[in-house]
Amino acid sequence: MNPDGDVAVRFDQVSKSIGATHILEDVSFEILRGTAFSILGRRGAGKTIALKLSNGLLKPDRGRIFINQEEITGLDRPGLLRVRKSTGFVFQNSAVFDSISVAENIAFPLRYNSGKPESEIQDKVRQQLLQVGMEQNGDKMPVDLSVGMRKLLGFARALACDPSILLLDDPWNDVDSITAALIRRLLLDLKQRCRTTLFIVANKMTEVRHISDQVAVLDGGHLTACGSPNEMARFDNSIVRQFVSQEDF
Amino acid sequence: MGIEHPIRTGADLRDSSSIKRLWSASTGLIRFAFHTLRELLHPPWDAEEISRQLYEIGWRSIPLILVAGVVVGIVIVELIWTALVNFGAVDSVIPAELSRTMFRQMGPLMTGLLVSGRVGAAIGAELAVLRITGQIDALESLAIDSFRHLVIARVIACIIALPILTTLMSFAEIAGGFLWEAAHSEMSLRLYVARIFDKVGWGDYILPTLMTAVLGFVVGTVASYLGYTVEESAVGVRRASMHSVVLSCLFVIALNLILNQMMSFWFPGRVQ
Repeated sequence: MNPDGDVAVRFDQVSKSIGATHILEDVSFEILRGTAFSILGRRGAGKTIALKLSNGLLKPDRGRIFINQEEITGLDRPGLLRVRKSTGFVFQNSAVFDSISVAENIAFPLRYNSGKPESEIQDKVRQQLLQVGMEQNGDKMPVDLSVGMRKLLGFARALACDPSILLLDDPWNDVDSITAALIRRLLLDLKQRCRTTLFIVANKMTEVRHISDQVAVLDGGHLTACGSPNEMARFDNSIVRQFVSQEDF
Repeated sequence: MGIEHPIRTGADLRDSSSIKRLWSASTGLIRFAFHTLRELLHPPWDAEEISRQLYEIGWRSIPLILVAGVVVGIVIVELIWTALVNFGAVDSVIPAELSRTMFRQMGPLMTGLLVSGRVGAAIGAELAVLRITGQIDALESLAIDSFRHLVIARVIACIIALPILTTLMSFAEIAGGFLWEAAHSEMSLRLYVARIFDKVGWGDYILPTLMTAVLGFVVGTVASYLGYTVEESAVGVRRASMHSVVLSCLFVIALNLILNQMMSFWFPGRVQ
């Protein structure tokens, strides 16, 4: 255990069921501030559930979850909304707002939460578009974008309010190799320059190896392995070995 | 997967019996309505979103309301004429009977039903799509209260729009009545208008029109509930849209009847 001040996200014996299916059972881990933590697992293993639990989109059946040392499991809606201001969420399917333009998607959370004047909001929007290489697409509607660009827009929107914790649900899903490389560079930059805490859910070790400080494998509702990317090869578990050996292909 | 909200009914009831599902949906709707009422009493509201919804729900419904109003006016006058023609002097009675019928009953009821069909389906389907595409989760993750932003804004827009649309509907119906009169008698517009307001007072207009604000609350709340709490994908959108129309229409008819009876009881002088 680390001093609490260094811990950005903490799961303490968290369990979650959907209907009769146990998704997570007594899952515990912590993510240090300014580090990247990745969860690998098969589809349906509960990775997205873990991510949604960590900003209160879902509530655990048992256990406690802390964000920046504040327990969020007992918070009311205003409390949850306050905590979410310090987190950003990049959704697997982007979940961009399809009735407003690309620029408006980024400006939307700023208008609600930042209290900044419109000129500053427009500056921030331009800055975010530049960061993800979409400066020419501000006036487009999301429906006119490719899947990869929608993913980048989801990034730009999540980062608009400068969150200290970024939650990423399979950010490399359905993107081409150039966009994937851009996303990796963005994440490394966020971690190293802005000391943003990254909580990543992914399907392949290759995607997270160079970014993550800690990697965990989720299987059967439990974290079957947790360690640095290099330590993962030492775990004597077939699922973990499969994830590690993917890198050979 | 969606946001765990205290008003949600839960996907785990999908496999339960029909009676249990109906019970769950009914209690869910009641909880949703109370939650909506509570939030309505707590400003500030999202003025920008309300004005956008007023445009969608109110302004864009006007052509439908005006056309339907004129047609209904013609039909009602035809019915009054058929019923009264044997008693004689029917032309002098038609404007007064039409205005009383329109202001008190047909205007609010027809507006409620038309808005249920047009707006109820739109709200139900739109919120359901936002839910299943993760856009409601996205709003929440950006620290924006999705309930206030989506549901409360739409309900407020319905509450404001319904009385205005009802007024337009009533006057469109009266205009339709005049078109019929002009085609069948030699009554002048001036005489028609004078007879229209001969037997109706402000009470005949204000109370039933204000009553439609309640219908607006019901249409907005029922449609929002069905869309906001949808659990399944394509089937869920279809159901949300269809059930929004059906339930809203039923509630509008029932409430129109109940509220009219209540008004007759509390304001007996209104009934002549």
